[in-house]
Amino acid sequence: MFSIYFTEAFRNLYTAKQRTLLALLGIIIGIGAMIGQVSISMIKGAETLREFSQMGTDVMVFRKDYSDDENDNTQISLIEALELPRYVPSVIAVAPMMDSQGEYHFAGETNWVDILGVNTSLPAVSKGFQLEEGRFFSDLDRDDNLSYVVIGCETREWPGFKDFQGKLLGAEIKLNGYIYVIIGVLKCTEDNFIDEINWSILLPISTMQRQFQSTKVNRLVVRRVANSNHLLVSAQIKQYFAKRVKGLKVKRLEWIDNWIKREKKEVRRMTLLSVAIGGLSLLAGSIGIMNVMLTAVIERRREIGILRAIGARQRDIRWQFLLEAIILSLIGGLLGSGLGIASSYLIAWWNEWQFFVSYQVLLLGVGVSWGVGIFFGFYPAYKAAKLDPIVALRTE
Amino acid sequence: MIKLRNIAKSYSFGQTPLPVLRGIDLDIQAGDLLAVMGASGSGKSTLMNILGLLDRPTSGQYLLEGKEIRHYSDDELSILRNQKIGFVFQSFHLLPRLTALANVGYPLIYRNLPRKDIEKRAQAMLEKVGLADRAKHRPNELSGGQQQRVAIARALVGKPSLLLADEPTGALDSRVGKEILDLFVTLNQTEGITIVIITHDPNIANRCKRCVVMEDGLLK
Ligand SMILES: Nc1ncnc2c1ncn2[C@@H]1O[C@H](COP(=O)(O)OP(=O)(O)OP(=O)(O)O)[C@@H](O)[C@H]1O
Ligand SMILES: [Mg+2]
Repeated sequence: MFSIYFTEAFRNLYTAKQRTLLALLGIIIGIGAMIGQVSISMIKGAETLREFSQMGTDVMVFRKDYSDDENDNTQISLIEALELPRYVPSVIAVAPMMDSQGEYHFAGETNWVDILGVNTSLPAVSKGFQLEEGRFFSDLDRDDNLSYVVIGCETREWPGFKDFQGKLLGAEIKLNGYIYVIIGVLKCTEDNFIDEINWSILLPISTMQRQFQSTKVNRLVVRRVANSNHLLVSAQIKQYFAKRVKGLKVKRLEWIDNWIKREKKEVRRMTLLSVAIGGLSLLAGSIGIMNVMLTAVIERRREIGILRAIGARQRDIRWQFLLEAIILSLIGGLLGSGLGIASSYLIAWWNEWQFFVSYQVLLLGVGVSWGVGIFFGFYPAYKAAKLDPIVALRTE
Repeated sequence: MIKLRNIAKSYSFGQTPLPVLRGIDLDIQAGDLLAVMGASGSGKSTLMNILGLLDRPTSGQYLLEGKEIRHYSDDELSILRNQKIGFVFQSFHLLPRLTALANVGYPLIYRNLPRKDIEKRAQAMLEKVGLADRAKHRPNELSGGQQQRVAIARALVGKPSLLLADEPTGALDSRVGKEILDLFVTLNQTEGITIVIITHDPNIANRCKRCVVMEDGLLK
């Protein structure tokens, strides 16, 4: 019985080729737009998260907890900071940072600038760290009498540096009255937790401590073993400092995790939005299906009358028309999903995003087209079934 | 087999009902060959639709094999049409996209018979009406007379107890019309099928066992 409906449905769709094609086109474009949008927003979302985790979800930032008064007389010192990896095995590298401000004189220009004291581990904690020219500090520099600086990418565009005619590497710069030699220029980094290096001048942290006469470390950037539990490592680090320096409390800056959480939410929001926008174009396509089916009901009234006369029940007629609508929208849904996925592949390829097909997208495509067929096919099928057989037979 | 008592049917045009049948009493025995004549618009087709369970009377009693059809649901009437009644129309009413064989077999689809059986019975029916060699032809490849034979085969394939024909020869020339009528007479005589033929042609009426005349919604 069902197979008869099925072959009949195909035959009817085939007979009304032109109309079938037009309806298919509508549904293909509708589903295609929806699936394409959803697929690309998922790909894009995954890409953003991947980019960020490449920069370092395994990077944590700590600093002294100023909210606690007991903490007032303590500080993170360089030695304790540098010894951290020895006591907490999950820590691969630690980059202590010290920040301050100062005035530079260079090529006849004077300006204020952020000064960052860093150590040679900085490249190890940040994958986004890259040199434009020259080199970074090295452990071999340590006993040198010369003091070196590295310039951030935005600082490079500031007065003095911008129009500097000579060779920047090796040039001397005066910083808070001391003379330094420029040994490197950084590329811009998008690494959020150290992005002020872009608009700073970097000094070796030991040099900075000497010259600013302070042993205080403001910040610790820590890279942990990739699969370690961040809560556990964080607890271990806090414990370590509490033990090493009596009364010292450190605090983890959690904004990276928060950022990722936010980003995930944003991806979900974008996906929903694209479902909604895609849904609108799908609605247009679906109305096309309904239109085609309604036309078919009117055109095939006589046939409906004949079938009723030879014994078709209302539900037989209803099924036959409903099945046609479902087949139509399933075929359209299949082709449309293919189109949508293909176009999201192209967009991903163009943007060099990593392409994938998520099963949610496939489910959405099949589910939605199935639903569209039933929902928009039901009314025409209902009308066909309710047709008075005598009226139907009398139409020519 | 069929008892009509005081059957009335009216169509409503806005507020005013328009009576088409106004109290029909009619008995049809099994094996009857009945002609229904009457002027155009006298209500013959309306009567046939009621006899054929395509339409319900506004009032009156219709006993089909002793059972009052008023109590049947729409689905039950459909099943009764499928099993007990065969229709033949003036304009054949075949499904244009299907072959003669598929057209003839179609009523059996609603009986959930296996495809093989359906084809066998449809083929046998086509043989009976003399069209075995046209089984694979579509209606538009057949002459009017041949199409009407296919329609008759379709009406008979479910072994109905009642065959209703509304001006079955109206669209055919007199020679072919006579052939069709011969077929009806033969079917009635050899198989004992009850047949009701609506016609304007007195020659046809003369060959039937019985003839009733309708006038303005009443049987004379
Ligand atoms: N669905 C309907 N709605 C309104 N009036 C109808 C309807 N069907 C039939 N009629 C009216 O009922 C009357 C009888 O129609 P019917 O078709 O039964 O006549 P008939 O005897 O078969 O005529 P003919 O010989 O021309 O076929 C006509 O006046 C027709 O206009
Ligand atoms: Mg008539």
